[in-house]
Amino acid sequence: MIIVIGLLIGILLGLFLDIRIPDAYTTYLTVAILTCLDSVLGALKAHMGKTFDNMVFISGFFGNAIIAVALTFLGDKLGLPMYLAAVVVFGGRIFNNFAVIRRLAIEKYYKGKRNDTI
Amino acid sequence: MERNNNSRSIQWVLALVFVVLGFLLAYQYKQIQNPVKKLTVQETEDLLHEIEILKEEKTAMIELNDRLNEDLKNYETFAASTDEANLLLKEELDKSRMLLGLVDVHGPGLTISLKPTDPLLDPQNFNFMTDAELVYIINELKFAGAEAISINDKRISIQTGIKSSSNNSFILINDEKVSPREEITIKAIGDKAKLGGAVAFHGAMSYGALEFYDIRFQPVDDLTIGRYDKAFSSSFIGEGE
Repeated sequence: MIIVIGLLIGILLGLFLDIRIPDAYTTYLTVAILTCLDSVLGALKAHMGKTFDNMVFISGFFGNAIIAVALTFLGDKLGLPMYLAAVVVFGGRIFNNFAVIRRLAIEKYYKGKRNDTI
Repeated sequence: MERNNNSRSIQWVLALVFVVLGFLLAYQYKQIQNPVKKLTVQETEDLLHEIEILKEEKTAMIELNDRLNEDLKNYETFAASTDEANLLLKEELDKSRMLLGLVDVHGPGLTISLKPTDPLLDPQNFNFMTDAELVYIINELKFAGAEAISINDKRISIQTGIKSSSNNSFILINDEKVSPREEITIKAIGDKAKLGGAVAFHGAMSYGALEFYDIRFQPVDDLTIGRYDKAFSSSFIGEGE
């Protein structure tokens, strides 16, 4: 519940707060969003697999975002599009996480059905 | 009890995490929907509108100036008609105006068209022309006795400056833009044969980036060159003793 409320507050802040982030930082923001999404899906996977740990999630959420942004910054300085590395890695991980979540959900569904029939 | 407190603070941190995520997503969504560039387009439109208005104003001013000039001429003619000396003075004044570029002039001359060739033909060396090439051509024409010159119908007057601007994306002549990426037409009134000879002289038109341009010139029997439509500045000069 608190998650949904937090998300809603964040969305409202993002939509209605007049904060200007310079255009030059758009890539950083996109990469940060990708890593955050990856962390959230990772957390969901862990939650379904009953291995969820708050600290692992929070540290991963901020840690990954910071590393990805730092990598993008380094890439900018070196003239190499390093943000692509973050996009590929975290994009791939999102798909992997989603695959695991899907399997766990299907497993849960069948388990529930079997229990019902017994 | 402590565990309960701990779990509550973790919940707050989780909420904060999702606030951040929600903010990032919503902000990025808003940026994509209403990109900042759109504002620039708006500004550009405003500027274009302003330019249109200024152009209209300029046309009106030119018309007014024409009328005033005509009036002035009439006064002069009227004043001169009474006296032989005044008539001569009037002729002298008309001639001065013509030489200064304050009136449209016509006469035999030469038109030169400079068209950039395809940069892909020589991508490593290709360059668009700069102010230097135009100044060079004007100097060549003047040396060959050109009495009036215009570049893309911008009259070269005694106070005309030619300068490349914005990393040579355009060249300013009389504070108006001429693009080196498009065809440039130069008109010169003078002795056709002399002018033609000057530009046709071997190597005369291979200065700087001119070698990357398709240059054509044509002698014309009656060429018209428009007048200099800016105001001359005389804030600093004064007549000598």
